Amino acid sequence: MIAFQNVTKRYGETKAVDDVSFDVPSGEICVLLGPSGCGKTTLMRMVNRLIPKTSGRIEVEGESIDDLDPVQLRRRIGYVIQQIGLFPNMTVEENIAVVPDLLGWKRARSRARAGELLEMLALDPALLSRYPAELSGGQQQRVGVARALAADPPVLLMDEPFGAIDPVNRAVIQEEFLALQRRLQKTVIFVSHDIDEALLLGSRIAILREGRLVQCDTPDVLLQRPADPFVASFVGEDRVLRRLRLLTVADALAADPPAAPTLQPNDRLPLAAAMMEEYGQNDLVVLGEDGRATGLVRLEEARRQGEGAVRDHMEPLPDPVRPEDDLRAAASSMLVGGLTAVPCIDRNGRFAGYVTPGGIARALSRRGGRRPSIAAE
Amino acid sequence: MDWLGELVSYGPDLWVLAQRHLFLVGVSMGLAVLVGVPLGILLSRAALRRVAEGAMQALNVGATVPTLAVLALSMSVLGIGIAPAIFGLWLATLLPVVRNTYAGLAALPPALLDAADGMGMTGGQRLRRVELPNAMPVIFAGIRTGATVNIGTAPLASLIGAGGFGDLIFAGIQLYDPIMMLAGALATAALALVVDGVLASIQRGLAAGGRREAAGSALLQAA
Repeated sequence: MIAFQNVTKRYGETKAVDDVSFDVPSGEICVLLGPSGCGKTTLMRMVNRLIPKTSGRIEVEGESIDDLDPVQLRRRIGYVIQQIGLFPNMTVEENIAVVPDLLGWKRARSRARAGELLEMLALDPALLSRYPAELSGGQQQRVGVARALAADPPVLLMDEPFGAIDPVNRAVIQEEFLALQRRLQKTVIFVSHDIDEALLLGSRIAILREGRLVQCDTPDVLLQRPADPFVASFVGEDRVLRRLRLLTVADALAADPPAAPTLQPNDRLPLAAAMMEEYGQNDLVVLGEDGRATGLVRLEEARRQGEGAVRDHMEPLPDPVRPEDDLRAAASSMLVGGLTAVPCIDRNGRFAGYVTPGGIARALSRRGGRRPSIAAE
Repeated sequence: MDWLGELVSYGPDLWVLAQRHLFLVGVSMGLAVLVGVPLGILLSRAALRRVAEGAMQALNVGATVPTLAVLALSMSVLGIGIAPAIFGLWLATLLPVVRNTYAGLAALPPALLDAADGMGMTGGQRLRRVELPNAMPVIFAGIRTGATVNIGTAPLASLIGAGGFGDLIFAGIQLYDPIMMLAGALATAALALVVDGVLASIQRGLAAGGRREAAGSALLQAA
């Protein structure tokens, strides 16, 4: 747990951070978000006393940071920066072992820990003896994260750690970091200026503007109920679309009437067309005898053919949407496939219902949202 | 081929003079490193950054004073012989050592220092484990420059009675004996090359098989 109470930082007359109070509960990632110069990095750097605060109180794991020696405090807090800052004169192994070495761990233990972390971050153990200059940018930043985790600190400070990595690798490393965080449950302060990154990683997001905390909420609340026009514009005019990423297909299914219409292979096409018109869908799923979805019939096809059995005029299912997928994926299938009802297939291959525009709208309109904190998963 | 035989005949003299020359160079260089590196480190500390530029300017002005004048001045205080010569050479060599030590440390990427601080290194740990190793290529370049300047300047020490290859060069000038002059000059040049070669191989050794050197030069480009 990290607690900020009325924290202020002044440089002369200007207040870089102005009376900020909020808590970061244990095991959560709190993203500090805002335009450059909003004080987010300053706020983060006050936690490990790289920048002295002017007034207020910061607690880490229940202890005021003022009661601790800065050097001891920093050894208990993992630190990752955008420029990575690996030491070029040390091997990857030595880089990772820096804090354990400072803490006086036995050499064998700190080296074993370095190997363990490399594995945890999906890096080849052969890299241990390499120098940072021999690594790619993505590998370097993974080593940077490994180094921060080396002494297993309960708290991590991360200053735009993935900002300098190309977009493709960034998406990969973000997912990896999320997976790692689910296991490790660190309390993380993560500085970012990228709203998508914040929505993906943050259990909660603190938005700062000119040194003041404007809003601190879960991503879903932030998108649904921005506190003021600044937050609304910062999270984007397309925030409804962004929320699709936070909601799952299951949310939209639950909002739909449970009895979803389906067809049998032996049904006739006129029946299919009539059912589609009745339910206002332009497609229906065909279920095999074992209850598994075997195909899809479109309304236009049913009308054109007039007679015949469904089995002769169905098309294969498009890439199935799963209940745990986010709604953006479902909306995308809807647009790509030209469907008004996207069939959802669960992990066992069973048909679980349709995602429809109405279902998505109802899921979006529910207040509060579901976005589970990382800790709750 | 007479002149070649004559040149070779200086062999025994050269051996004796080389020992004196190396002594002057070794002691003045050693003292320059012992004083210059710590001074450069001191000037690079955050607390002294403000005065550092002024100090570097003073050293730069000092370097424009011809070494001959420095030797003459130190002779007037320390008398003739080895002591004023070593002082003069020390002063001439000090500047590149201090300047490169300071510049090498000041040019380190701020992110490196931020990472070191953020991980909980004390000032001394940061200096030993991060700053000096990464600034080493630049610091060592300063030492090599200093050594070359030092060896090349050392013949002047002969003028204040400190001996060395300068004895042959200046005697050769006065006697209008080009071969004698050449013997001293060639020996000085050869010594400069050998010492620089030795320092270069020490530098490579320090750089752990070239890898760190690569990292260091990448660092310099980044900085």
